[in-house]
Amino acid sequence: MIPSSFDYVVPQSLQEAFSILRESDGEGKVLAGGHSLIPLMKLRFARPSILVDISKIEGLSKVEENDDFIEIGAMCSHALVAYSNLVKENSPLVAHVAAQIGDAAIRHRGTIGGSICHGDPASDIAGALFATSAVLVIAGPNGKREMKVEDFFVGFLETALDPEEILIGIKLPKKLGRYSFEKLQRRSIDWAIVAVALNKVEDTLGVGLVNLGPTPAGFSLSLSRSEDTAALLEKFRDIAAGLTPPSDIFGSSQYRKVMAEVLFSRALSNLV
Amino acid sequence: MQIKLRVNGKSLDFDVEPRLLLVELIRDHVKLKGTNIGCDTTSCGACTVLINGISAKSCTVLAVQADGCEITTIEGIGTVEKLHPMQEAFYKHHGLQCGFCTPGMIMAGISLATELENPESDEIRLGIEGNLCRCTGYNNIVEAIKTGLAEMKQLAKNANIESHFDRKEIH
Amino acid sequence: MSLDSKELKAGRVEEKLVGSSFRRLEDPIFITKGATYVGDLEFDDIAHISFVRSPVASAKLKNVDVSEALSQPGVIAAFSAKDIEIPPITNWINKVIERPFLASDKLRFVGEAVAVVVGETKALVEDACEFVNIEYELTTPIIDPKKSANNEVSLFESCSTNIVASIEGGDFANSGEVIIEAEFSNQRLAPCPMEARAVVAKIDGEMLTVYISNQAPHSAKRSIGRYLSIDESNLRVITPDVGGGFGSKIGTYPEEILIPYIARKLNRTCRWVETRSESMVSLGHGRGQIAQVILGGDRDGKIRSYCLSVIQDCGAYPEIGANMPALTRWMTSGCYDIENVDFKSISVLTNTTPTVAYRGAGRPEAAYAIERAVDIFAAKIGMDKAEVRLKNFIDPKKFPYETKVGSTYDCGNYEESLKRVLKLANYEKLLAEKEKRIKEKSDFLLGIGISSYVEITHGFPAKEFGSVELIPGGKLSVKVGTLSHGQGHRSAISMIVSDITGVDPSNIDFYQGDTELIESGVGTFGSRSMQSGGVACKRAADMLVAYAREFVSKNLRVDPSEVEFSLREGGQFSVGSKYLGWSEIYSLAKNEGIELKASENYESSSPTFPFGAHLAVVEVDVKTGKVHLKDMFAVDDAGNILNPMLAKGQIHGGLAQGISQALYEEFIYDQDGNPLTATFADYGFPTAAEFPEFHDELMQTATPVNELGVKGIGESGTIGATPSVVNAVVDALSIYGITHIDMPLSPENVFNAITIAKESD
Repeated sequence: MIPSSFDYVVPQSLQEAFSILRESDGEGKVLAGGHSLIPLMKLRFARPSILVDISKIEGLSKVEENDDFIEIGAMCSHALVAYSNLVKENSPLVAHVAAQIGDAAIRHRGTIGGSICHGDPASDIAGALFATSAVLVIAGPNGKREMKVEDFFVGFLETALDPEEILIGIKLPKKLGRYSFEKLQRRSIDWAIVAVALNKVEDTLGVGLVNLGPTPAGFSLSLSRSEDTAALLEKFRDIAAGLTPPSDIFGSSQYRKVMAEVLFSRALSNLV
Repeated sequence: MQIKLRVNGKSLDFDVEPRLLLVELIRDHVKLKGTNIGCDTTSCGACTVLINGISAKSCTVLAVQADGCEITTIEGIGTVEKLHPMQEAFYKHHGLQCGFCTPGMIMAGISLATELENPESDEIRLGIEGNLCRCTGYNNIVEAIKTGLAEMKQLAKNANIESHFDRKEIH
Repeated sequence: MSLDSKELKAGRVEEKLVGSSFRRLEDPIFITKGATYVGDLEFDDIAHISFVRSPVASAKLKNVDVSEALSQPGVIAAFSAKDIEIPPITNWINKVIERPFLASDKLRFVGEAVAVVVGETKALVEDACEFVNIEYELTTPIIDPKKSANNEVSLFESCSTNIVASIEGGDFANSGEVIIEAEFSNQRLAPCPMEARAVVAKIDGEMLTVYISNQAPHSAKRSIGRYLSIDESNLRVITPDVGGGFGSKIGTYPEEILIPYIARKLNRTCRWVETRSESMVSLGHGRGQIAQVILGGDRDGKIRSYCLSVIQDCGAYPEIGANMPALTRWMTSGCYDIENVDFKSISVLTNTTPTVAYRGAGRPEAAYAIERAVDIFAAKIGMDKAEVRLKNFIDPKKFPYETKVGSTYDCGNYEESLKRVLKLANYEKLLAEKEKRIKEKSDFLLGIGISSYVEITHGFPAKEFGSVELIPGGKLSVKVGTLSHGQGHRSAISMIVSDITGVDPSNIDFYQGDTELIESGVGTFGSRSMQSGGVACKRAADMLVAYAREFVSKNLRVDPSEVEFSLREGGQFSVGSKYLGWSEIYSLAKNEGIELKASENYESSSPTFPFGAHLAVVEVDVKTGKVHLKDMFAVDDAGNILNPMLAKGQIHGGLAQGISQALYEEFIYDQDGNPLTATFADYGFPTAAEFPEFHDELMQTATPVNELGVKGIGESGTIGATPSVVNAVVDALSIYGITHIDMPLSPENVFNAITIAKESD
């Protein structure tokens, strides 16, 4: 299995990357770790005419700390996210989830940015970003813009990125609370049949949903002090009723809906 | 495209098509046939090599992406006369049968040394979930990797080398 | 104790190697350079071949146009059915049905080869394949074997029925106070050897050499020779290292005959290395059997009658899979002494990948049916599952025992294996833990599943070749007609020969898988190798020692009875104080123009019947349906054990495949015949994280069938494991009144069963 032919460039700067993408007229594709894209190219489901490898662009492969947030460079591997002390200390859910993506070798090469830009509804890390109210930092020829994670996924394998834009970082608020991640799988290397990520900070419960619709999804629930688990479950059930999870060999849509509730309930009682 | 990389310590130059996969470069150009291709979907790990010391599935890396990297394959870690501790452990514990997954499995096992300090069997099982074997039922492979990792650690200690267990280093 | 060849180099230890966990001779190369598979071989000026395959399950094939592909860069040739000038394959199971080498008038399954492209590089060939145009008109596919049996639509115009083979039942009536009836499915599986198929055909003038990843090279040679009309002396088949087979590489596939055909046509060495994506749909599949069982018994636990009816899914062409029910039939009544037994079957065509033998091949289906039925019966009469089994086992004193379907079990002790596994697992404690979880209303119920199995190995006794020859330096050259593809035959056979000759295994050159070097051979399948090739080599080694003794006696002019032979010093003959080692004997014989060589074509008188008992402990998450295998215990008896480490390795691999059928694997088609599990990302090939550590014990009841006392060990694990795991899950869920769930026991399947049971409660 060999990809069809393409050109390959390694820009040294974002500006250089933007201009290559512009010239490619929509046929170009950004290459991060390649662990979503190269498998598709080998099966010839994807045939970009030019790959723009952003691995040599300065500053995209590190985690940085600011007053209110940490910023994970888009080219950070899943392993780096999982092992980074900055991430573990400030957004432990994200580190915890990153450690469960794919397998060890995939985590070494696959990147958080590449994973998100692939837009797969089965992405664990996207679920974690919903639960933590992440903000995505996007760079384009006209400068940077920031976008809430909930605005990023617009359709099945489709994101709000313009063809000339590049996701450069993920900002995670430095707010510590309790979190949990419940993942139901067939084999340990399979995509989640369903997964639910929770991040409870003060009186807000961030919820990330994996494989429960055409895109990664999530929402926040505000927790009034009197609210008990039963009421929360009720709220979740109302929201879950509106989900349209996929049906495939791993589970029917109906099964996924029921499991969403089961996992939500477990995640609530397993918050650490 | 011109690329330059080191394979098992040897510096090599190649002129390759961008679409050439690293595993094909290793097999067809460097002519090292130990690294195998077992699937098309980054699932099986038969192609696992070390890139700059940590495991990677060479079927999902373009040769051009490996430009400037240090690649280590099964042929680069030990010889019949002087086996690497992980090779010795697979030999001792009957950690292989048909041999097809073995080179990738051994490389994946070696890479675990950078991530797990004193692993329990369950951690090893998760650590090699990306390396499929159809013959052994994994039982002896897990035993072998446990032994191999302990031996690697001991050797590093004896040689007074700082254990290369440092999770932050992983990229 | 564990010995390795390094320790041996210092001089032979007194102990025999056989019975020790001697390290594999194969391994040093495998772990440093890797084994050498067909895809690893280097040839000058080799051309690469790819197949274009049918994208649909059923269609009228109107036209295949390769002209555009031919004009692509790097393309040497391209072929469709009309370019292939060899007659189609006629099948031994059904002579009316012909299988074309490339689809000609119909497309019958997704993955059927339609066209071939040959080119200078793999990448260019893959590019060119996209330019082959296939024109077809869809027809209604038949995917469900039960529907196929209705014969409403025929897969072949030449054949009015889709039933290509059948076995009639006998006179049978149910007996017993309690009659249970059930239907069990043995889902379709993909064998998934890690090395997919690969062929190189090399041309040297008239001579054709075919390198192939196969379990039976001599039979591959016969097939290739027959279809390509090549004289035997001009054809050589070589199997270098083979990366697993599990039954799927026994036969010679149409693709594997086409590669040498094309190489000859182009007069150029050609290679095809199958991709996983094509292997998943065109390498034969396994299982695919539906069983209907009726079991009758008394309330005291005695089983009175058992009837098994089977529908076998053959896929689109009748291959070995069509014949699987014959193997199932042999093992119908399992370990039990049942007075009234019957079996019947039909094998039907469907628009799916043809089925072949897959680890266990027909016997897992039989064991699964009876072991599930016995559990249902035990539950129905309210008796402990172990107790029911103990009540019905064949009495060890009754061996050899002829079953009601005509199999003659050589020897066994089913009671002991079950008792040992119950002890190993601490059965009583597990039962208590199970009750405790029920009382606590835990979401994670415990289930304990038992299976007692007996199976048949070397089911088709045939002559197998083995030879031992003294070569320069006093080394031995051992040749055998079986074909190790992961089992470690080089080690096992070298151990046997070393114990007889005294020659260190490191001084034994081992040859297999080359039709030029090995006079004849049957190959490796059906767990036959040690009891055929192993015995042949043993006899040849015995003969070599006898020939050498005779030579020494003549040479020293003494009576043969005065020549002593000892294993010391790498094997030495002595007369009084005069000692002769193998090396000296070689030189003396050579001077006289004598070759010391013994060969044997050994044919065993009958099959052997390994047996054992497995116990699975599962935890079922009743809220999600997810099953977690907590523990797996296995006591297996395959007669004398040559090397416990290798034997256990075989058991482990078998257990994994058996467990995996129960929990993860299923090759799925949608209703149009599109495969939904055609990659390792979709198919439930299990990882290390799916299994617990295996607790296993070997029992050794020597068979009287052969002089090594050995039975086959390759498939037992698979056969016993599957029913034990399913029995365990059903056991956990018995509180809901669940009596059966079809495999695989995926989270959703289990969850649905619980939901339905709760609703009907």
